[in-house]
Amino acid sequence: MLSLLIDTSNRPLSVALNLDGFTLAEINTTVKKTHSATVMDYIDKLFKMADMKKNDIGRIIVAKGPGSYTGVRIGVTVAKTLAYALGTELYSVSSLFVVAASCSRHGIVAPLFDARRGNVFGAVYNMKADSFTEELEPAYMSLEDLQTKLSSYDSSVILLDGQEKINTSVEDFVHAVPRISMVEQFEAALEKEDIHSLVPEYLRISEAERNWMEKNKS
Amino acid sequence: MTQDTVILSIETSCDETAASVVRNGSEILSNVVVSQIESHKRFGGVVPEVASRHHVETITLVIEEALEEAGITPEGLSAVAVTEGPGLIGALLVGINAAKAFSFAHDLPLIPVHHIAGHIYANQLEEALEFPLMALIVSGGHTELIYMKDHLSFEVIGETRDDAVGEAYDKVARVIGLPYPGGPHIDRLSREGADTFDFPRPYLEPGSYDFSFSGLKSAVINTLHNHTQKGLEVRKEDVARSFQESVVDVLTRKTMDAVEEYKVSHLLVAGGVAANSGLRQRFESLCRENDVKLSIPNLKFCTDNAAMIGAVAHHLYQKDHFASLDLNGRNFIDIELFV
Repeated sequence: MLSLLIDTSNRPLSVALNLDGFTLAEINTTVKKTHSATVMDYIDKLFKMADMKKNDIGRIIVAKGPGSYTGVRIGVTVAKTLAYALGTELYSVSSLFVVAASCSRHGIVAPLFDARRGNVFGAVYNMKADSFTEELEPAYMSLEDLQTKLSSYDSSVILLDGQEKINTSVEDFVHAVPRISMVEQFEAALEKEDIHSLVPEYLRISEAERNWMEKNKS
Repeated sequence: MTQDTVILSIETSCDETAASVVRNGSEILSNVVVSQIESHKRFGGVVPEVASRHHVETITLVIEEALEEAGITPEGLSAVAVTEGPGLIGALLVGINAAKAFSFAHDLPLIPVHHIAGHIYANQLEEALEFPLMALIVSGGHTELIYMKDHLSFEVIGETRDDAVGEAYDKVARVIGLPYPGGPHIDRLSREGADTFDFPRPYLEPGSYDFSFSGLKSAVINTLHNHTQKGLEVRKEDVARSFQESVVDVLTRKTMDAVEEYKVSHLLVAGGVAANSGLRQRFESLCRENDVKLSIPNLKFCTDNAAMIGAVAHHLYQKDHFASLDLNGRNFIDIELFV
């Protein structure tokens, strides 16, 4: 089966075409460009590179977040519209798991994204060759909390793309560039979605809603 | 020769998720609009992040409904059109990326459309435009006077220097305790009031077609403040009427001056504030007196919708005005340089 995979959750961008789990073509970037302008263009290029037709796609897999709100919206919008227009199946994967799967490390890994003011979007996975267990599900938390949780493991590695501001507060981390082509090795990480109802996993309500709830609590 | 078109159009520049199918720029086959207004009411205005989140929730459903209602399959389409801007950038990006994905999936040309051009061409959904014409665009985000010699030729002869007129309406409404969006409430109240406050008429310097409503808004707020401090009772109806009279005086006088100077015989009024009954009535009588043809579209075409984007796209299609897959949203686009 031909799969199209899309991740625009943060500054890096990753798109790939896999055939039966093997990568035919992929584009991974970490340059600061607007995903809105590039992602469809790169997807078009993938089909040309791999000499494949878009009607051959069996499923689309999208990184649904967490990450930049605008970033995940672009990926999810493109994925659900393509799935609807081409009549393919739609799957989602956590953007944090994409990072965990990308660096081919075994053992306890904690991918995290900077969520500003000392907070992160993070998760903890125990990665094996072709399976994994989720030790801590993706959540919004303080970096301190995440580090406390990690201290209960014998050894663990924090994964960052290295461009986040928060890397200055993390003593030791491994540089990991998201490669969404890797996630098909872990079928259990993929979730089948209803095309129309898929929404990004922001893991945080908007600031306006937070303020409104705060004000209306009393 | 004009080519026949059937265009799927998408509009997500603010707080409506909309898709439509229009034939030849005037015949509406479907016009689906999902309004988010109930969600934004609690904040007293449109919150961009919340608007963007709602767009992604409904975008594919809205597209599907537009096609189904039109009874059109993707094979029957000539192109996909989408609002490129101006608008809330995060909101625009949802429509643009959906439009790009759809055009890629079905090998359809992609047509980028200016939102204000859409508001002007909303008129074409009801009757043909007659050139040269003058268009007054009045909404929550825009106050512009645009002169058009011909199709797709836009010359901005006046625009707001501060608040858009709809924005001033919303702010004044909030001060006198009316819910968001304030325009319709002020319009309703003003019918039961009198112009007792005689607020200033911001005409700016002679010969200018620009607008400024921020000073008027402050005058209303200061007057109310003074009355409250002195313990005087204020009739909300009179405040609404006095404010609206000032707005209508300024909008209509500048517009009619422009109509005369540019010697046009067709005046279009568009945008959400075109629904205002005080503004409509004044324009109707002034145009009758001056023998000018007046077009104000039906309310459903005055507020944001995708059919108006499809109406412009028909003309852009004739000019091969297409975008590639690297199209991006823009929160500001000069309409004069758009085509």
